[in-house]
Amino acid sequence: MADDTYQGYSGPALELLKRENIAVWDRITVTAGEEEIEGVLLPRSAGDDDHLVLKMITGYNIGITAGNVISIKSDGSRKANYKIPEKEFPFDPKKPNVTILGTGGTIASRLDYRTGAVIPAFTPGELFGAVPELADIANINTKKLFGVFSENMGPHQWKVLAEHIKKEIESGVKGICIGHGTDTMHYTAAVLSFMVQGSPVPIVMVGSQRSSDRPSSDAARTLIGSVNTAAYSDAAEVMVCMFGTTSDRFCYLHRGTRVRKMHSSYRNTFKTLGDVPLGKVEDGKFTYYKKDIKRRRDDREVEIYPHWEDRIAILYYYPNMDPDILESMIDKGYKGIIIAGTGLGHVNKPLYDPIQRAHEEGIHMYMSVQTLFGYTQMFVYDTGRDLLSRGVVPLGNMLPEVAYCKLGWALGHVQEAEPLNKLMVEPIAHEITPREPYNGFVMGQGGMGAVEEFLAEYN
Amino acid sequence: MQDKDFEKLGFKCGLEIHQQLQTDRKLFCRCPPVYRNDPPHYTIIRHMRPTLSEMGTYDGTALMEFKTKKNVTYEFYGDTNCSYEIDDTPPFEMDEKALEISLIIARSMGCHQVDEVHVSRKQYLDGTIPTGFQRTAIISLKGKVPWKKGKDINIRQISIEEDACREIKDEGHEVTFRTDRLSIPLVEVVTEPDAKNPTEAGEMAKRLGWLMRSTSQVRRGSGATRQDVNVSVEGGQRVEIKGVPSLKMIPTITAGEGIRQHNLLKIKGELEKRGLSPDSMEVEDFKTMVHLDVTSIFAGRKVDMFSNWFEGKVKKRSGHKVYAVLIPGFKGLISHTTHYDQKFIDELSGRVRVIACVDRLPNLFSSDDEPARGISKEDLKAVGKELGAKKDDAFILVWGPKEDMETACQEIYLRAREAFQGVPNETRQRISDHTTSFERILPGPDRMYPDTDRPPIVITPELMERVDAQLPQPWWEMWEEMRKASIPDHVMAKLVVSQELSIYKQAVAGGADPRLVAFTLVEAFRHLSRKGVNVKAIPGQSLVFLFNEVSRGVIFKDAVKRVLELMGRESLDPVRAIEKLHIRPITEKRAEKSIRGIARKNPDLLEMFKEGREGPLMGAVMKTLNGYFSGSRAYDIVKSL
Repeated sequence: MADDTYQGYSGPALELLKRENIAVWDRITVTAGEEEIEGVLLPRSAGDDDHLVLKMITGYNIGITAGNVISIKSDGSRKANYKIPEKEFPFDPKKPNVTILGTGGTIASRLDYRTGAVIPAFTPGELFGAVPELADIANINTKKLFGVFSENMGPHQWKVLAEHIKKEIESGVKGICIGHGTDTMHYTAAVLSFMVQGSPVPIVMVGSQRSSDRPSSDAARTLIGSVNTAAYSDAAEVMVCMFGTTSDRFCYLHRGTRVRKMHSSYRNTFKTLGDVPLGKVEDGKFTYYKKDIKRRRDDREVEIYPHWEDRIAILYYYPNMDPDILESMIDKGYKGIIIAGTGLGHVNKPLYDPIQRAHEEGIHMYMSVQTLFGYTQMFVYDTGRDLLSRGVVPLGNMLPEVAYCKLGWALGHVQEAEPLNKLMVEPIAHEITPREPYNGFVMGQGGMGAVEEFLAEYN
Repeated sequence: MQDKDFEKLGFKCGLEIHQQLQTDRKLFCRCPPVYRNDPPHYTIIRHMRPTLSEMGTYDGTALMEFKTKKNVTYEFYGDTNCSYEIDDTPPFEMDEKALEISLIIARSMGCHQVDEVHVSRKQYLDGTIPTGFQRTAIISLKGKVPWKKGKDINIRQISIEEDACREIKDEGHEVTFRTDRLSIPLVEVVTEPDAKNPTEAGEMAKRLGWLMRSTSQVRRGSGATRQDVNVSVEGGQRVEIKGVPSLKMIPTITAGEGIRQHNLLKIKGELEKRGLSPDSMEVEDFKTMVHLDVTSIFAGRKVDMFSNWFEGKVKKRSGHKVYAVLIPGFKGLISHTTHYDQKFIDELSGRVRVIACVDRLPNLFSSDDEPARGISKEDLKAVGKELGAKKDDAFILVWGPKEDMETACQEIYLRAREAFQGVPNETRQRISDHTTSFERILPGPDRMYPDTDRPPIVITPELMERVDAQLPQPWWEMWEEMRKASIPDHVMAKLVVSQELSIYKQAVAGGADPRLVAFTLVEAFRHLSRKGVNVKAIPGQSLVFLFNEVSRGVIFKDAVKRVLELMGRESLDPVRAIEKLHIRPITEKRAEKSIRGIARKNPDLLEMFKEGREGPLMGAVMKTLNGYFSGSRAYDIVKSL
């Protein structure tokens, strides 16, 4: 572990601390200019060389320029005991057992002062201390698998997750929650939808858009919603459980292959695209919007297919794209490419030749639409037909990111073009739907009241 | 009580003055700082949960506010609010103008600015801020404002912060806030407890408040300045009274708090005399608390006292209950006066209102009270018997929603126990011009933690140069100058805190008559505004020009108001307005001719003038000459007739 005597300090500020033998968390009196200021020396977040950060008795923090400091006196250390109160999680034999798998998301958390990042609180005891309502719902067991931010999730983590899900199911839990950072939650949800098949219990991904170090956090409510869903919901599918509106009202349950993060900061950032959400959970009550739900079962049987092929990519087409990009992907030995095309699934003519070449070299290419909503329709225009003839396989209304996840997974199991194409276009978990309902295209779903009310009023 | 009596009690008062700043945008987002009174476009619902402080502890206020279990509704507007105000977008950069104005204020109070501004989050779980915390930052420390002989006002710290929402409605467990006021920039000036009596508290607030206004860069109008006062007496505690809206109320409100603390200490003394101790009242699990559902004693009757919850007769089986809590040994103390018409029972009542949300008043009745409004002597006897009350005991009745009764009883018990410590640490709210009631437990430093959404801001020498160039002259210095120019106090009082002060300074510096300028900017502006003339829209430069025209003799001062009226009504510049009014001055010769003509036509008025009743003739003369000729010269001419 790194020495954190001078946590985050550098340059003149660090020299001053070393010279005066002052450590972070010391209670100090600083004389600067005509001022004498008392407080606790706090760790410093990176990016500044010149200032000490002092927490004064009033609770306010200020920065003092190292060069202005005339003297510092230390009066002992007062290290923060920043811990969520840990209480023993009560066990009730009548309640269902739910396991929460941790990947490093921010459900319950505390601050790291150096980076300003949020560190998760995760043991059942910590969770009970932070969200005591959980004990009224289920018996909770937690397993911290990794401590990574969501952007660092990848094939290794997906595979480990899938294996742990199998283990938990076989041990007889009634449902599984997965705490996950929200940025890439929809990728993991899609991958797990393919890796874990025929689960008898709900697999619920959950995170928060406002970390629990703030009073207005959505963390407690999404956690309560997801544990409820894992314990009692009838849907044995991979789902994302996040706020349905920005109000503290209910969570939507989104299918793992149809969900996407659509806003960088709103609470109700997750939307089901091209369909309506599977259902919603509000105060422990479920409303299902979909009829074709895979039902919960009593057995402990589940199949996992955890393999993955790394050499794949999404090619996000834009006007004037230089064919070089695709050429270099061929040269670099990529095995599969998801094209996110314009409109119904198009790219410009200069790309035809490299596409032809890629096809000839056995690279698998699939078309999805960057409109996100709607289907590829490659017979409508010449461009589409030209691409089809060069081996590009359309993926209907599969979302580009989901297509990426499915291709990596599928290539991990099958390499031959014919069975691969078959695997790609046959839906496993609603990643391609046979029809798009009228209310499937609602960007504001959940943002302005329930979907149906919104449609009734505005359409 | 007189000021010297308060001094004997060891009265001390410090202020926290909140002043909104005049900026074009909000502190952390680009929305305009405007108030709305039309129906809101959207509402959202939130709940607040307490979180850990940076030091790893929970704040007492935060826990208390969590107990209240409030549903918080926020109202907002599509065109003047954004996703920042509903906590769905992280903050944008701090408004530079706001920082600059707050530094001008800090420097004018002799404070030293900090080297680097760190934004902190101050938790508020009452819902006044959708994030659950206010973004606030210290910009300077330790200042001094000259006050009176041998005494300065000592400034502890000045911070810049975002304003909170406006409360629209608060009933039971439902509270509604409007986000229009949220994030309007304000400065908070915190003084040391330098006032030793209530009059001094008022003086301090005025001196600092006017100093801020004399920058001409702060917002005006209702709610733009709000004072929190901190009062303590010897043996008491620092108690904060929130949001005193006017300077006039400060002496009465602070006096009331001094008296309240004095009386609470008397109650404490009486408890000690009775040989009672807080140890017998256990408040961890409330094991010693005796409380009962006594609804059945009143059931089947209409009890007027309970009519705010029981419509018609009191029913045993309904959503509402009457409870009784035993307060051992407190007989006679529940009705002890605290301040003005308030009694100790009002202390208990305030806690029940805020924390248990039983907010329809009255919510309590005590065994010290005279039987009233359908509660008979026999009822009280019956309740006392059920509780097992002894001769020296007191008990409290509380009524309201069933689910709130447990919390209500606990709060009564908790507050009664705090009588042993004398004055509890708390924040109070104003309920009249002179009385206050419980608002919340006084928050501590544990509710502060750093805001990690934006980097710290270094205060640069360039910024301080801009600030120093804008420091206002202290209003009390101006006051002396204005007094020398024979400007009456009531005009000065308005002028030194008005937006037009900078115009006054410019015009006077340019040689204009201070008295004319002051009267015009205060009195004439007020008259003309009332007549519907938009004088505020006249550019400052045009006003300065107009005053200079008077000093240059282009027009007479008596014509200024007429010119202004035309400028305001028709958006004219002063030159065009003067032309249009044809008010170039006439010669002395022409004036004399005109005056003689008037005197000739009104011999009776001339007679009266000579007898000393000068008004009527002068009135007739000035009606003709006003604006064309000097009034005092005209008088001399009449006198010489």
